[in-house]
Amino acid sequence: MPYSILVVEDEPHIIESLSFLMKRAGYKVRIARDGDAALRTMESETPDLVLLDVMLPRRDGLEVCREIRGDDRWRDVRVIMLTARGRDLDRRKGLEMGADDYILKPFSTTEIVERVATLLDQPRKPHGEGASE
Amino acid sequence: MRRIFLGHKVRQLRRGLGLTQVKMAKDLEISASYLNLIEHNRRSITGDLAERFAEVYGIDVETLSGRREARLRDHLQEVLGDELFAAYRLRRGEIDELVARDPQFCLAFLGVYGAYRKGRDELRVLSEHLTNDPALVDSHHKLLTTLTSLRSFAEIMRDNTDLADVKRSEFADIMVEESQNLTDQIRELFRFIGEGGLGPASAAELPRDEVMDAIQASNNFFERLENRASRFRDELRAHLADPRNGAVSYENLCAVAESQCGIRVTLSEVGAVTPPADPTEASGPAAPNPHFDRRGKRLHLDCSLPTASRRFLMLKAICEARFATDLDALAQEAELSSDRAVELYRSSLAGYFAGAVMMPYEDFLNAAETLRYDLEALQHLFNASFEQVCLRLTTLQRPGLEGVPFHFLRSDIAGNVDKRFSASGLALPRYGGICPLWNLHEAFLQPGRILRQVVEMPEGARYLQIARTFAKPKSSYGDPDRFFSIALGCDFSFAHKLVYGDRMDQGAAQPLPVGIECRRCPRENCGHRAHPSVISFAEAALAQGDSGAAVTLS
Repeated sequence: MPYSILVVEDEPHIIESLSFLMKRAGYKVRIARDGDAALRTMESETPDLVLLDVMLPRRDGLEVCREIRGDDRWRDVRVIMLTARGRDLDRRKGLEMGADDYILKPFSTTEIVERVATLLDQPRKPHGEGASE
Repeated sequence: MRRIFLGHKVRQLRRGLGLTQVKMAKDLEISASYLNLIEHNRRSITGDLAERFAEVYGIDVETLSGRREARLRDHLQEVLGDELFAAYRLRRGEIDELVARDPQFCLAFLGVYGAYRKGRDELRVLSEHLTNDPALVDSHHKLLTTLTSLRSFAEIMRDNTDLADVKRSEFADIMVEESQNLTDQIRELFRFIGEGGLGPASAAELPRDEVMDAIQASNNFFERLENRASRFRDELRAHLADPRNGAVSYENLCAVAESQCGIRVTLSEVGAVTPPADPTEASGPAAPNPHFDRRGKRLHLDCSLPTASRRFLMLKAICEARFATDLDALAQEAELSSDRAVELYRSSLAGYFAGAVMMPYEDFLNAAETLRYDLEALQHLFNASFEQVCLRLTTLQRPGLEGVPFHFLRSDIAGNVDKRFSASGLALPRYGGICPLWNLHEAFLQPGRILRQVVEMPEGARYLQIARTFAKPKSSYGDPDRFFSIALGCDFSFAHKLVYGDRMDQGAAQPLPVGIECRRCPRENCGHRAHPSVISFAEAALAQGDSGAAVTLS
């Protein structure tokens, strides 16, 4: 069973490139265009990893991340934050909210694919076993 | 009289006239050796001799006094304290020499430094602006998003040679579209910057400083406004059945403003939402009167204003409406560089007029001398606010009829100084923060109480300083509080004339060693130091030597 990735992003072209990259890497991809939609999608099916943009309409990425970390059902879900804001404070806030990694836009496609693979390869810290469906 | 510049000036004068020391000494009826001592800053020019200078050479005492040079020197010294000049430390004596020899060059130098400071401040404000302006943050985000998309599709095309033609052309279309977006976004960004979308980024400090300088240059005394004020007061009296009292009562002023100046006065209702009140007071530089619409001649007063402020603002408006030509003429004389500065200066002068009407020069001076400068007593006598009284005291500089020369500072609770003037000889800082030991700061810990202190500057000059805070009136509970602290000080030699100097001049109070601001202060071991000093020990010793050791350091 391939790993499943949830792409949470509101920019159509970035959605397109991310889904292309993830599918090429052999993952199953689902898409959510805002924070509320992301949580609804996760309710129906838990992904292995979430690529989560910070600047989202309505509920922002940081809040979505906090929700994910606050729910025990999703403790094994890896979260990578994506943001255009390069300030260190945003990076720290993201990690504080429980994100596993943090990638700045404009990202390198090889790097994002590698980081996703690395996170999926190892069990999620600190909760042990990696997720599987 | 300041000896430091006197010698240079006398020598300059003599050489300019092509005289020998012997000849000049003869003209002045003094010995040549005495003149030599004067030229070497070892003797002062006393009153009689000053008069002879005036008679023989037509040089007035003011020119010889070197007051202007002293101000220039203090200003230069502060500027040279900037880190920028760390490699070019000048000693005090060298600065004096420079000022005496070439004041024009010094002025030009200070002008350049002022422009540099303005540029530096604007740059700082701008860069803060760039990181926080919502429009720019948004623009930044959009740019990065577009770049992300462009970069990822470019890399996808590079790394995936096996892409189907349909996909390849789909991605290429996206890249073309995103390139167009990028162009638009960049154009929009430049338009935003070009149109001054960065808004009020430029530091408003410069016009305010310019106005404070203009007021300082006039020694905060304006005969023209004094005359206007005195005649206007006579007019007010003529309006009343009982001219002794109430000439400047709120009601009387209202009537005069409406009937004589065509000013319509409205008062905000209690509970009505109004912009925060800003009763700009007396003659110091302040924001232009936001309550008075000069063109429409409408004066709007906030209900929260105490009577003293209402009267003051009313008089200010009357001055702007009736004596506009005087204000324009004075503003023109001051040769200010921007419209904003002119506006501020006119407003300050209108405030001066208001203070002069409420507290007529001679009555006020006599009362001040009789009441020994008791600020609270003067407040009651003239129905004026604490700040109005303090500022009026600083204007008592009519030649031949001077009051105690004071310095005045107003600071907000964060230490921003928005009004400053000095006739006391103390060089108030233009750019830096004020020594934390001044009671100006401590006053915030005891709001509304008058604090007094005797301070000693590093070069030995002593001052008596009093400080008190006040709060701006509020319209209602929800309005934010605004607190200010005022410092009023004079040379310690005048302390006996002030009620605040009582039981202090017998040595009961040890003067507190203070400075003006840390960067210029040589007191290396001061526990209150906030910034390192740029003056070395050796220079401090020299500076003390220079001052003629008139007062020894404690």
